[in-house]
Amino acid sequence: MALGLAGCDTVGTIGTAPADRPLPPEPEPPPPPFAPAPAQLLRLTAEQFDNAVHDLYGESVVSALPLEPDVRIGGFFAVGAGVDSVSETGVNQYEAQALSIGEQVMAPSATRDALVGCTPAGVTDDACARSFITRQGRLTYRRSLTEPEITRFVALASEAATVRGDFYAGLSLVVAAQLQSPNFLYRNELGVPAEPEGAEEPGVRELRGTQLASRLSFFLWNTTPDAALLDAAESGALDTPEGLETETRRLLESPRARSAVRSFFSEMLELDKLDNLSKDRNAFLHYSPAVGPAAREETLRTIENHVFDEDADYRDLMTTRTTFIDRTLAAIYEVPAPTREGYARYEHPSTSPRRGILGQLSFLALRAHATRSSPTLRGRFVRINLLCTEIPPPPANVAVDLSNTDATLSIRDQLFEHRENPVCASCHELMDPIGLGFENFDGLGQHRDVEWLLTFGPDGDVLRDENGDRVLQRGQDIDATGELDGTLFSNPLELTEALRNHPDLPRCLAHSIYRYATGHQELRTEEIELRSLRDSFAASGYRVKELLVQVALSRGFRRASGLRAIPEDTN
Amino acid sequence: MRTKKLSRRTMLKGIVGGGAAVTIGLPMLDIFCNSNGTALAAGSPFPKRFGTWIWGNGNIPERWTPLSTGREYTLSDQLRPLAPVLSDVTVVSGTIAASVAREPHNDGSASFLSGTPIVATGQHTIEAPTIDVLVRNAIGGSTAFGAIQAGVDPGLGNSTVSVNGPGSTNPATVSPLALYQLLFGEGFALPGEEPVIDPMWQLRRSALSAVMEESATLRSQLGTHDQRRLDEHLNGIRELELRLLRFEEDPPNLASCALPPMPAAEYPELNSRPQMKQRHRIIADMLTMALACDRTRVVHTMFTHGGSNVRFPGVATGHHELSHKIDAVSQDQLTLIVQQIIEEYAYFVQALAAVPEGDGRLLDNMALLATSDCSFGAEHEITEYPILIAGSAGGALVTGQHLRAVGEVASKVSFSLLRAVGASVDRFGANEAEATTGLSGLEV
Repeated sequence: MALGLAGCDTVGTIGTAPADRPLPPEPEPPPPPFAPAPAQLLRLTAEQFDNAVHDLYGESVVSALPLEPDVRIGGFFAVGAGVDSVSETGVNQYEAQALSIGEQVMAPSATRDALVGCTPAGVTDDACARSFITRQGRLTYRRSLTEPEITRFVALASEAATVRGDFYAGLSLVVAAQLQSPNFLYRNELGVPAEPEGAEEPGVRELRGTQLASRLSFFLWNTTPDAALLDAAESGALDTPEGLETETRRLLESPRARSAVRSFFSEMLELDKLDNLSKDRNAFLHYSPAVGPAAREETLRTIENHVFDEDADYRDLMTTRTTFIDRTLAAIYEVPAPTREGYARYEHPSTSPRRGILGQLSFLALRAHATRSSPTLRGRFVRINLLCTEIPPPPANVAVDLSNTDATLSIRDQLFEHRENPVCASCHELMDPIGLGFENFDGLGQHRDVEWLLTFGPDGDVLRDENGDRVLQRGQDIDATGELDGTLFSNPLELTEALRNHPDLPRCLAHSIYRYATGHQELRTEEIELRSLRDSFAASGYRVKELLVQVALSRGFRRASGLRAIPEDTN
Repeated sequence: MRTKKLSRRTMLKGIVGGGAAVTIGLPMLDIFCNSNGTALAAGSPFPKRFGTWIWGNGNIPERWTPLSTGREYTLSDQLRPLAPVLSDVTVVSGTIAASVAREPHNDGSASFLSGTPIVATGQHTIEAPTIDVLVRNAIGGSTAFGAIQAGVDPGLGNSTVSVNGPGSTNPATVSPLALYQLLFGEGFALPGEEPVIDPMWQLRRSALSAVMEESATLRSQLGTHDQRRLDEHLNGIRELELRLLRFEEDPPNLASCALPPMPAAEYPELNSRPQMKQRHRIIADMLTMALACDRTRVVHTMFTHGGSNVRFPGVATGHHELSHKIDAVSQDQLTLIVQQIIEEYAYFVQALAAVPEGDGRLLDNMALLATSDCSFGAEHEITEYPILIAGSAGGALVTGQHLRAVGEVASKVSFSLLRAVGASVDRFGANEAEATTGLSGLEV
């Protein structure tokens, strides 16, 4: 059991001490000198692939075939993008998608003729093909093509046009080749050798020009740079701090920034998992497959409004009464639907127990079991995703069963084992008390003061009365009291207030955005840079937009220490 | 030629379980075999095939382990559905999927299937190739698809435990219809048919070769970490080029090759439960025919993944949630789930056994390994590892026995399987999971 005991007392790069120990004293110890992370290729996420294709070839292009899955590392697909590689199946999928896009783009239309930009003299026309390849290739590869690359594509266009007897059918193969090329699928943001600054080691690299444009664009727009950004990059405008800041603020004003911020929070809060939300309809009569997607949209609209329209304090996302709901969610929240179609703004009354994004189904329903709530899953989410506390998986060979659970016991009593067994307690005392504070919401996220339990027959089927209604058994009254790192609470409102004021909340967001923007898990040697990000975030009144600007301007965003090598011991 | 051999129509009826009517043309078949029917007309023996079949959340060892050892073993409660295929399935019990570092739902498969215990990273990556990838590299080279990964549980996403190396897994095709189109769509021809050559194949190869050429410049700029990733990607491109070439060749003359039933476009949930049985059976039928037609020689089936909370008919609670309850009622219910899972494995074995190949059956030229991510799910145990092997891989494995191998490392089974299907191996795995010999009593 020694392995288990290694658990939660000892880890946590930015974690918080368990409740029975004081918070680490401020100020923190001096961090080591700054050194950036090594440079690495980042594969486009599926969403980035899709966004880029639409920016390159128009919104009407259908790109919906399955692609090599993204891998979540350190909480983010954006980090997995620097580690994963493409399987044989993934290659097939990229090819199928690229061919389909090529055919769609080169089907006869006025859009196509404008895209190609010249009228071919015959089935083959190398000059016309070349002008298209040169212009579109630059947008696709996020840099100007080299002469050998252009020549190769002109030859491909000519061969394919000859075989297929059509100039555009030839170009369709070029489009397909570019969209399945590693030059498109991986972001080459490897930088060029630069002079070391401060304590940096020799071999340091710097992102300049189009590589910096690429990084900036995928960070703030979650898509490929547009022609204006590439022009600015090639003119050298991004290579000064002033020019970089000007472009950063320009990008943030675009509607694409809103979609990118939604994408960031979707990764951070793992809202993609709502696609697979599944609840037992015996336990939750209001559940339908529409709930998961609706819950995601609610949270993303709440965040988008908070960050862009209100430009409000990030911490208030925990306590805001503003939300955006549709009829499905209104029925579950037992409030009047604010609109007949789609989503509309709704203010929870001051008497409502529901506040902030943790009063929403994207948290309450997703972080629960199919038939009941889960204080552990809820507490775990708050710790890991919102406070960046490291919690290892449960040790193996330990029964994680809450043994001999008497269904009439309250969940608090059922979780007794987690507190009594020292192997479990070191981690669970971080999670369970928070989750118990949300027990006023059942496994779907509906409010309750008492737990009602399903009853089961000997065959495992839910017991029903002669009318077909479920036979429910009254459980315990809900007790939602607890303590969050020294702050006592007695209900979900007080818990979300305590969370709003927790020092790790803004700290975790600053670290998460940095991790997402740079595509790697932050290093000890980046702490000094992270500290100044945290300070500037606080100084801005915790405005997310300002944090995005500061991350883009940070040294870790545009510098790298060499190229990432395979570690010796696994080579 | 044996007269007892099932007609293909009988066989197909068997495969669809007597349900839907199947109408398939029956071209003359046996002429493709040599005169004694034991090999292809060209004189080459029937190829060996390999499959892995994975379910999540383990078992309950005391309700799983057969009650006697050796041949004609007495089936346990959880293995009761194996009865119709008892003589074709070897149960290996008592081994340990050794791993000092532990990570629930991940360490067992890593140790058994790749021989590399988990590095305590918390990143859920397996460091070395899994056995299906090693087999594919050894025997998968000449078919249209080196290997096929299929998923049954729609909640899988597309995750598998088929791993090429760090950060590189092979995703599963989860839509039955997409799997059908992949296996029996483009480039597929029945034995005796002329392949219809699509001029696009040549052009796609030209496009791929342009991509390969320009990637060389990118590769030269990379550090070793990214070179390894890009090489993986470029290998896939090379494989695709080869496949497009093979599309133009005549299909292999395998007598039992036929089109399987076409799956439905959707399998909606019934009573909040995915149609696991229906999905699995249509997938197993397709994989069986992909093997019979020599479209691929290696198949990886993810029935469910470790931690899967799929709900099964007759049981109210999700599988994972239930697997962590140790009261008697819950364990009875869990056994109902394990039985439903093993029944599906038995179905796949029967489908493979129903395909005649020369004097024998497809199953005889195959090894189909079934295993999970742990043994006792409630504690994520890695002792008493659950291992089932169907088929003798061309007479290389002893079938139909219960082999008790207490304390042996499970990776010895992988070593034996690699050798049995024709992959050269002198050691498998590393550290506490290293195997330098096969498991005594498993190979003939």
